[in-house]
Amino acid sequence: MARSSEVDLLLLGVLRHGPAHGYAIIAALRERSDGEFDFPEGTIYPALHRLERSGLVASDTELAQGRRRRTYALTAQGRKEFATQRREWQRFSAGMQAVIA
Amino acid sequence: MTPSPIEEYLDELLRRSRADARTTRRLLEEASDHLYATAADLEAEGRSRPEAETEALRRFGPAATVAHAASAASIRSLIGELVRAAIYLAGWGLVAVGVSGLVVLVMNVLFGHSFVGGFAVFGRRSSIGETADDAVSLRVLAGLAGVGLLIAHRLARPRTERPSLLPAGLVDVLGAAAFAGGTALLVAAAIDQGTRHGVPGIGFPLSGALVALPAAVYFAVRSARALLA
Repeated sequence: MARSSEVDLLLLGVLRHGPAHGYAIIAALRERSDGEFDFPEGTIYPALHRLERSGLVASDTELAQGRRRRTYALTAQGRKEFATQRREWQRFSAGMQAVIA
Repeated sequence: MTPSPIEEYLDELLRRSRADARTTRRLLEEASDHLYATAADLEAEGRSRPEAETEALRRFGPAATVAHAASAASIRSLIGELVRAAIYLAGWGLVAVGVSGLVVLVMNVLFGHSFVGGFAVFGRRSSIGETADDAVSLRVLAGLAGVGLLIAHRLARPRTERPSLLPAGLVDVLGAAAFAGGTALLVAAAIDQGTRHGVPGIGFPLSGALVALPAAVYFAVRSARALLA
């Protein structure tokens, strides 16, 4: 199971491709990870709320098929944070790979 | 008619949520939307309605897990807001102390050092001037520390506008109460000083009361505006 900082990075990674609602974010996570990231879908909402409170994502509601649906998008600060976290993750991942390969 | 598993799950999520009202409402809206969308997709793939709802709930995760994650995030944000509110009020409190130091400065010039510094004990008249001067310098230093806290509060503000988790006007009500309480205590101290020793020393608490009173009014007006908005 991914830790909260890893979940944050994954969510920011999905949202960098454009605004999406929770259901679409989960679908994108599952699809892009070939089913590797299959954690309880409900836990992404508290994570999205947390990212919104930190100013990394912003949300808006829209009407879809007669229902209000909340859509999330990266903010400028979120874009910057994603770039930083991705760099750190890549460095860590390269280090791990070098040791265990 | 038996309620659907999704409706029962949403009821359980509501019962278990310890997050603030706004977070809980949003979580329920999004959970409902997500679960019904998943169930509809599974039904379109050929599953029966009960099977589709059960599978949607399995994927969503236990209500306890989701509610716990929401509560933890909500409590962290609430603590952050409380800390910011404490810094804000402490900043204004120290700024008020600093302004009262300037009031003492004026009092020293207008009424002499004994008005703030009190009366000589055992013939040490220098202690009067020392007390009156310290009341200026130390209070102004406290005021500068207050300005620093207010700047820190401003810098620590969220970069994006979002609704506060604290009830509207709470911080201003606390500010009004603190300054009103301070005014009452300082006025009582001034009266006590006046009745026991006369004019000498009365300026010490009076200078504080003269600043605390308008500050209490300012915060009371702000809280009334926030509560009536």
